[in-house]
Amino acid sequence: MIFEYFSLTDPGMVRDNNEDSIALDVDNHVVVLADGMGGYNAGEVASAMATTFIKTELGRWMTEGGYEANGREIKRAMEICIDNANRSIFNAANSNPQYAGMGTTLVMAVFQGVRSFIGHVGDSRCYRLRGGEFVQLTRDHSLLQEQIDAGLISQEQAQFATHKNLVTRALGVEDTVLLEVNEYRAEDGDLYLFCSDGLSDMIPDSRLAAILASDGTLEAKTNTLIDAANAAGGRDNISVILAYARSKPLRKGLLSRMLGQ
Amino acid sequence: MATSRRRKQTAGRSGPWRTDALVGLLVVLAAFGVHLSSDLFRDLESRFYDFASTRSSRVPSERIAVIAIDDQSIANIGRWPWPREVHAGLIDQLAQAQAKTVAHTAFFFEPQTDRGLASLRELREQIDGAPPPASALADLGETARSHLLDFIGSAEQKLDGDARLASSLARAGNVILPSLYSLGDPQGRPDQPLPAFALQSALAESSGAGLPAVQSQQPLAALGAAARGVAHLNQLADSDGAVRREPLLVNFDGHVIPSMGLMVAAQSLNLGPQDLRLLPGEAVLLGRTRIETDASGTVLPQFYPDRDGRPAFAVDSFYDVASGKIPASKYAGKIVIIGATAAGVGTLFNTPVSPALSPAVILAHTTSSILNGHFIGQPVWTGAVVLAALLLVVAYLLALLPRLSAATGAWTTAGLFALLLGVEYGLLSAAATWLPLVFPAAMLLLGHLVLTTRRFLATEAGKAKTDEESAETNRMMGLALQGQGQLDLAFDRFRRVPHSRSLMDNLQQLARDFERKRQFHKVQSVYEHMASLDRDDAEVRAGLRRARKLSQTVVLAGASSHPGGSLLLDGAGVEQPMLGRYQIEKELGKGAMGVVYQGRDPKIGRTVAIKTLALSAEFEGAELADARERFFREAETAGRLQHPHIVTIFDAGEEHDLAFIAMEFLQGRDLVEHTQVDRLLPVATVLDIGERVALALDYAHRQNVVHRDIKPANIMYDPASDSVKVTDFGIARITDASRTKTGMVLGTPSFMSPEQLAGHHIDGRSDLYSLGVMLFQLLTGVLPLRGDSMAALMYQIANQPAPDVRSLRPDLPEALTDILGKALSKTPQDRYQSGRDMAQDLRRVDRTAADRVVPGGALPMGPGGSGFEKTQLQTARAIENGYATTVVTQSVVQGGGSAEGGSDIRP
Repeated sequence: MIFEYFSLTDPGMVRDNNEDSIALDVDNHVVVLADGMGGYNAGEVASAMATTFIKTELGRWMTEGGYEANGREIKRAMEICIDNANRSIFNAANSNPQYAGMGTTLVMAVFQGVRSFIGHVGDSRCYRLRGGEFVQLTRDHSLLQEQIDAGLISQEQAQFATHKNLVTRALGVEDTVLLEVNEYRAEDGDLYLFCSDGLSDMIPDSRLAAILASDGTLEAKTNTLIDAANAAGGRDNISVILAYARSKPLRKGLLSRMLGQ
Repeated sequence: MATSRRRKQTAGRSGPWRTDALVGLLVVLAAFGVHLSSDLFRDLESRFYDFASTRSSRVPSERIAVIAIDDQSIANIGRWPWPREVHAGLIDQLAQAQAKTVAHTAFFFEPQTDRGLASLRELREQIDGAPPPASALADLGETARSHLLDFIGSAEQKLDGDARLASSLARAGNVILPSLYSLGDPQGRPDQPLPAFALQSALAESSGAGLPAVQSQQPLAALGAAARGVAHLNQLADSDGAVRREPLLVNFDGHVIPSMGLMVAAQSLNLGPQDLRLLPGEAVLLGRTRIETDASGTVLPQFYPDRDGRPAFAVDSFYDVASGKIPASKYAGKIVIIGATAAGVGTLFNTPVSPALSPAVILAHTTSSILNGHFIGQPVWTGAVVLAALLLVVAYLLALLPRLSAATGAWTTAGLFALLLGVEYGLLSAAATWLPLVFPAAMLLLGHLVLTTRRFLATEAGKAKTDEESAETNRMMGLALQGQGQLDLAFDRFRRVPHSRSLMDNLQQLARDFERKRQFHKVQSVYEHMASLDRDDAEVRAGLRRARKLSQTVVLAGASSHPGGSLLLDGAGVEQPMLGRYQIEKELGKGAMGVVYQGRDPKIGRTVAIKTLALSAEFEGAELADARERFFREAETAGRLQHPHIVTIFDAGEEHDLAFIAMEFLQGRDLVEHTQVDRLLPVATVLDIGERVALALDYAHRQNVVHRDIKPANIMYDPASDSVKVTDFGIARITDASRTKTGMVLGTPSFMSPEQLAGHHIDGRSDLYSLGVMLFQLLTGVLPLRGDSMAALMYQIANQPAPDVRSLRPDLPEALTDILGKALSKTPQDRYQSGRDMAQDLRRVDRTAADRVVPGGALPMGPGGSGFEKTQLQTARAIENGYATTVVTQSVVQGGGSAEGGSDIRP
């Protein structure tokens, strides 16, 4: 399976700085997206630490033997990597007064052949568009989601809840964290969307699906997504990573190659 | 408003190659432009031509000799111009020696006027003139007159060099003299036609062949008539001023004049102008020899290289020959060329074989070429080949080179370049054929250089950006490693990052971490590195001084004298630091918001616990106010409360950028470890604790304070003094209507009441629910409601009634079923309405029966540490109990981060 990626991050219309962080390791098919929180600029540091660390360590692990690993080993590697990242952010937060209280959510994926491993902590999401069907693959670790699942509030009430952004799991707030990771089959034509809540809070799922299902390059779709989020208010940092799976590469004609497509 | 969009990762490799072709095209066009407008490439071509054509192995004719009017001759014979007799003398010598042909390259255009001669002539006139002799000479006798006339006659003869020369020339009969023409297109007929002797040397045919000329300079009539022939000695220079070509023919007034070279060659073969035939624009036929020419009758003669260190043609000094040092017999049967080589006499020309060659030597080369047929030819297909080469180069630059990698492209270009020049060189030196391939080769080289430079610049730019990105990556990895406690590896990473403000902050933090570990030389290394980045920073210099001092100080052992290192305030560092009025004694542990110390109030000798929050200069504005507010709110809420079972707050304040709360130093530990099945406290103790906590809560509720986070971790118990204290009012809320702020759900889920989980308004009864959960856990070792996931747990809490405590521990008193059942009711109305009620019920429980069963071993009574120690261990246990951890908030607040989030986190 051949994967094509595109990623982009935007501070949005309201925030001054961008506390989201994205990292792509195209050769090793590792994708990481983090949404940081914390006083002053600590959110930037937390999310950057998370993405840098995971991309470097997991990328290295994949290069050194990840291609032969089975599903269980890959999941275990992801968990250990997240655990280490969490510990470093947690300790940094506690020892450095500027970074006190910092944390970050995370959504990540490792693609290996026809298998995809999607892991997340917090409320950054992964969606998949497959043959016209658009599903959210990750379940938020947020208080709202737990309340919904416990039957304490209904879906309609959830839309008006004021505490949408309270997460129950995050990196850097405790010295251990539990990564939720699942394995999915990757099929030809799958389009994966990784995003922070800056996108999913501004645009309803139906609109996301429509944008992704339209024609165009990954780059064009990413730009459309971000523009739409900004048009709807852009109240938070917006980050998007798109991954597109194809089972064989397209043969481009001479003319299109000359025109640089 | 959005400032920077960072784009990462594009797929496809389109851009670079497309623009490369464009750049190649521009280079090609520029090259053509330069070639057409200037002589740059022509000159380069000429140089290469000079270089290659003179590498020939051709041998010059042996029949040609050159006699040079050199400096030695000038020095000995006299200043130039010489008297014509001198020339006549040499001509005689050569005629005697029977040289075949003599070519004299000196111009004899002006008559030699001897001043003496004029006077003599005048004298003769006077003596023998037509008008009657002057009176002064009237009495001259016949003998005197004839003697005088004879004398004058012989003197005249001696002085009339021209006549002398003319007679020598006539006697020799094989001398060719030069004429000179001003080349150009004539507009009409010339001022004077060619004299008769010149016409004799012209070709029989009169056609338009040869280079057109507008004016001519001929030798003196006497000399011209006496010479064998008069031919032109025009040198045709290229754009760089060098002579490479020989114009065989000049066209003047309809007559075709041959060059000296042609004439000399002809004469040496006993041929004359009548034997020269023309194929206009194609060739000149000299007897049977065919000389290929270009359209204007010009040829490219071979300039012979030096052999064995000597020039191709031996040049003898005029003086040597004239004085007899070189016998004139040497020149028997040879073609002798006489000309000036001395500096200042005549002009010297730049030629392929030498930068300063006299016309005489040039004539030698030319004549040899004509005699031996040694020319550089340009076959008819030259133009086609050059054009093909150009097209090849253009195609290569536009289409092929951009696609090749740097190395392959370099090799291919080098190969093509070498091929082009090699072919030209080979053809010139071996086959005397000239293909002007320098222009295509130069264009190839230029195009390659420009493209390579462009690519290099692009990569450099790309590299600079990558360097920037990788610097940030290194910094993040450094932070990550530092967070994992691998300080040395972290320092390694930080060292690779160029200077920036944030890096300096990180390094400072690293230094503090090293300090904490007492690795003082490492602290010094870090500060030294910081100093190398920014020499002028005062803080860095101060830090470095202190670090040096520290690493030299002998550290005294003993727990009481030196703090843990994390509070090394400025000063010598050996004295005990103060915070407010308290002396800091040692570090107890790390709380949610900062370090917790054990301190002492020196004035009253009281030991206190000091909770700190480091307000660094980085906190500013809203965050600063927020952080401070949250911190002191605990002090305020607990400070309102004065109860034996609630931890007492003594003091709160700010100093050295550190905010602190001084509170009662508690002995004993929290109750977390007693929630384990094998370490449960006796039932009576548990009930006792519960009663006292309930009373404390009752008191708090009456003061309108709801704790909101009642759990074993927040209850301190000291068995030695049997004291129970409720602590950690950090998230407590004052529920006055005026200060209520909804929308925040905080607490520890396992202990949260249903209404708390749902985010509804809560009051004291929620605390009592939590107390019920706590008691359940302390009695049984398990939580009343559990779940595999947060969602499951919350569902349970919301819907599932709590189990009967006696179903897990049947030996418990019966009353507890009701008490706990009531406390754990889902709706607040069904619970205890006040802590007092609950306390009363708990007191009434019959403990006697319960005391019979004491599960587990002895109560662990470790060394008297403070309640704030081992917070990390508590965390592990807390998690084992299942979701006994506090929920994190992430608020969406306009313009700010979430400093609130920080202070609500519990380890």
